[in-house]
Amino acid sequence: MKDTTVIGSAGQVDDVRAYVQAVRAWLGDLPADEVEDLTAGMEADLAERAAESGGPLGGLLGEPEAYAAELRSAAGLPARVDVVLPDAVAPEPWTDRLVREAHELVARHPWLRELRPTWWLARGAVAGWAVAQVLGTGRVVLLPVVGAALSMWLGLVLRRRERLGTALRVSLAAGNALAVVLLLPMLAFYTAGSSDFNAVSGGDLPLPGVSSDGAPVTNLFAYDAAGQRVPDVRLYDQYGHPLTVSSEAVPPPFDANGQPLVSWPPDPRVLGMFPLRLVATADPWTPSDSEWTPPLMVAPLAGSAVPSPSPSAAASGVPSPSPGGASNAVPSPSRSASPSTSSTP
Amino acid sequence: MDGTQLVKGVLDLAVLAVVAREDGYGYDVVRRLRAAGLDEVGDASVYGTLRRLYSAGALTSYVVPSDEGPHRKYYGINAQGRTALESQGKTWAAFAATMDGLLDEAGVRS
Repeated sequence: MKDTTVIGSAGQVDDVRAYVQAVRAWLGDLPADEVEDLTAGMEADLAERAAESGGPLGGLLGEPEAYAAELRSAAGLPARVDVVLPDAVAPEPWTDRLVREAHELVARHPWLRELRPTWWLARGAVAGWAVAQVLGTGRVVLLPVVGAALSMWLGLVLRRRERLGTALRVSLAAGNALAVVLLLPMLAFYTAGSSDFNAVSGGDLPLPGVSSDGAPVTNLFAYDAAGQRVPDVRLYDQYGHPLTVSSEAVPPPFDANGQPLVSWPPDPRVLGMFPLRLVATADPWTPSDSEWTPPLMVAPLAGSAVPSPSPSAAASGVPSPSPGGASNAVPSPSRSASPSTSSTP
Repeated sequence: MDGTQLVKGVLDLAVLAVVAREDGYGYDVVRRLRAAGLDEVGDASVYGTLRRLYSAGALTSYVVPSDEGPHRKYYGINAQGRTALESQGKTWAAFAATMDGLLDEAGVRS
């Protein structure tokens, strides 16, 4: 009988380990080698006991506190002293107390052990997220996933170890504590991210396309510094994105009978060249439903407002429309800086 | 009378007797004591007693490694333990005889 080692289930092994650790904690006021002697072989014995009876050890043996008291009394050791003479006896450090109470809690409620893998995943995700934040990389999904996997692996490896070195135990405890602290910021980070996403899909954002002072822009009319119309302009923003007006903002053209003249929405390229040419045959400078009719010319700017002197600007070719350029889509550089005679006011 | 109180008084003797027959680890000793009829014996009391007898020099101890689980700690008796077993056994026998006599006089069949 004594040569067979009875192996219990993984849950029983955890239960036994927790029980032994709780008993050790209650013996914690004794010299370390005394505790070691008292509890050496205890795990194997209790594992056999648990495997025979199949129940939680707390039910078979009573509370770890009572078990430890009986053990030291039978061994002829003094009873635990931590309430008597609080001045003379150093109080139990709060860390020891925390560890002991945690072990006792787990010994009483073995199902708490089932939650441990969940915590391993969570702390790994926190670590990955923290690394992503520190490095400033955008990998806020990949790194937490990698971290969770590593942490799970670590948890499984360490669980099989019977005893952990002090350095390892301390760093594990510190890491776990840090993960607890960082858990909330991480949750805040991800929930804030998802609410931003909701805002985008919820349509709270400004209208797509060009807007001015919050109102959608439905058309643009370009004039050069000299006050001349510039047809067929394509505009780019500071990111190199072409500016377009939104098909939701621009009213589609209708004929006199209220029938649509073109299919809607139009080709996106049509919405990015100004003034808009929604109907091929219509003059883009005299839009039917515009609030404003663009004049042939606007007042030229004072010379000082033009960054480069006018002669060189003329040489590099400031685009200027040909006379009656309303129907001419291609801008042609004029050889002279002065406006063409036909449009001179 | 509460059996546990009686057991406490003779636990040293009982444990020495069990280990004297064959070396054993803690739970093995508990099981053999219970099989012999000492149902009230507490696990922790037996472990503590083994430890105390070992500290007093009455027992030897050795660890048997296990491939599959935690190590086992075996206890065996030594010469000093056998001496203690014999002298305490005699004390017990005399005590039991005294008690039997008392009970006989009281007309209680033991």
